[in-house]
Amino acid sequence: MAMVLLFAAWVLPWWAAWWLTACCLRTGTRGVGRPGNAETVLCASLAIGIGLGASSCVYYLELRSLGVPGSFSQVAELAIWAAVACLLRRMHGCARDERCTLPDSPAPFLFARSNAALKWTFCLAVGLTALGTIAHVIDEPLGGWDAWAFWNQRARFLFRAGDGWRQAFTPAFSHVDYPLLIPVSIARCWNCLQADPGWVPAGIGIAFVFATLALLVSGVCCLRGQTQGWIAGLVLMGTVRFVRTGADQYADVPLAFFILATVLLLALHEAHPHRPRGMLYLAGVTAGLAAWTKNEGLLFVLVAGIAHCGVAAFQGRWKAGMIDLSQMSLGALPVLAVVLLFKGGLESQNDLLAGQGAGATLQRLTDPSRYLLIGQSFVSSLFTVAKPLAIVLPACAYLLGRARSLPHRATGLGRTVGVLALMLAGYCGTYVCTPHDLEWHLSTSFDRLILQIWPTGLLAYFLWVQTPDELLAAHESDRRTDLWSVPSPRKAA
Amino acid sequence: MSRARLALALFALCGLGIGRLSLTSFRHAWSSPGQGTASRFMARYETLKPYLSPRQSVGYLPDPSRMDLDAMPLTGRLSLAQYALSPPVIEPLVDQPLVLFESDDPQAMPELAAQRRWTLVADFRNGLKLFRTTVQE
Repeated sequence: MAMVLLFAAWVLPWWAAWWLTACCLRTGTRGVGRPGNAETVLCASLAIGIGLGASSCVYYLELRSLGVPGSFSQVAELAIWAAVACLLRRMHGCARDERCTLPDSPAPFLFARSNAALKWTFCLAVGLTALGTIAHVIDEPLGGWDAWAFWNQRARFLFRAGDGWRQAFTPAFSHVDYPLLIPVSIARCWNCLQADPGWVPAGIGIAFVFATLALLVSGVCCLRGQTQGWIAGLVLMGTVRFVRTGADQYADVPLAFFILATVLLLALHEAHPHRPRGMLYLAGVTAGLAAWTKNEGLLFVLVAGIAHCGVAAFQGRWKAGMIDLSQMSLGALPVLAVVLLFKGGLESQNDLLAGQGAGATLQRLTDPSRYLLIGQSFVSSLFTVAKPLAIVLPACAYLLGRARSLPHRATGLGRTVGVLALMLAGYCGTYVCTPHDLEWHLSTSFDRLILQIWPTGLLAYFLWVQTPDELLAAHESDRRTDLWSVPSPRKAA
Repeated sequence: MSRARLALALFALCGLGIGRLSLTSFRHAWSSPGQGTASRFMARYETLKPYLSPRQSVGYLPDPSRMDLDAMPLTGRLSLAQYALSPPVIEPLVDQPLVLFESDDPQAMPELAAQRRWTLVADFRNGLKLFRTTVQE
């Protein structure tokens, strides 16, 4: 019975989020052809994160208002999720006439044998990723440091302490200001089971790894074609650090998911012929959920808004950009309200903010050695994360070249790069002002901050670089032009 | 080989690099499943559970001179103790009615215990000892 309850607790919010996503993307989800499959995977992967995030917000509000939910409350909550899913499905059905698929992806790979080899390589990599994550969890069932020191520890208190759950935020614990998407999601599942098995937080960690993979692949498929989508997936799986950090149950991978989801939704909105407002609303929801996952998500909410308005201003669409921002805010506000409710109830302050003072902060800002150290750490952390990709990505960019013609999709690239630049600037500003020992702080966290924006960085890369199809098509076109070219007068003579 | 095919081959090789994680993790998991460092320390702290009640606060007193801090640093030991024993709150203080003393030497005793006349509640014979203190006014 407990397992049935847990299954429903996972599936029903996911199902509601699926229909919400389908309504907002204004897509048909029963497509069989190329665009339909990518859209289906896009909806499914977005629904994983949005379902988990929304259910964690609801559970936290229940905890605060009614205490730990009993069996009756759990069943009532699941019934509400089912009702919401049915309502959204009905709304999606009513909007059939306005539905259209996302813009056509470019033509598939020209050489069938290479296409088949790429598909099989992708499937093999997915299998290896699944095996690797499961083996890693068996090897380290408690996960990494942050998992047992913060996220799962908080979840244990929320589950085991009953009505005393507020003890989880006493100053005796470190980083009590960390947002609660992951701990509350774990505690919610444990409450269904009335037990706290270690496979629940591990399962959530692994789910986010594969959801991010599916999101990146399907998003790049929609924007740049199937081949490019599979290659993007291979590169993400090849970032072993990313997969291992997710299996270690760190919150950086879920945050990476929500950052990628927001940026991708904004890019898809730009590429969509009708620019449905629902996509902006959904982007606001995922940005808000980023803030509910980690404190860096609060920075991201600000950055997403600035980047979107910046791009709109650059295109001479300043007023439209402000209207878009208001739509995104509608999506973000409910989640941000939960974040503010949580932060407002804390006794202790964030350690980085508590360590600031006018004199001390000014001294740190004007110390050039700190900037040099941060720059060095950025380069070494990038190589630590990327490993062989630090050489392969530039090499392949040289081999494939820049995409020659990017109509509306190019604006997705500008915004993506803007988000990455602003996030890095925000991270650097945080390190410059940190009250902790700078070397220690950089060595223990910079690589994970890079992981948070790594999938979005790959999105930017695969938006910019030419696809193998385009390169081969260009060569084919050049070859045919040479065959049919009119001989020069000198040659004819 | 065309540039496109070479790029594809490079991407494919990188993607298959995830196999490294599978190999190393399976090797560790096969030889000693679930015996990572954190799991071993967790098992150590869980022996205290029967002696603690959910709503109390427990002090924590480490003995850094007789600890292998390379295996697990002090902050990590405290965090693991907090995780293993939650919901009792484990605090790095010595003025709680119960104090957990930790050392890697099973024979070690805290000097404070003699000075403040603490009562030994339980000796777990692995360096962990639970003391009852008198609450200071």
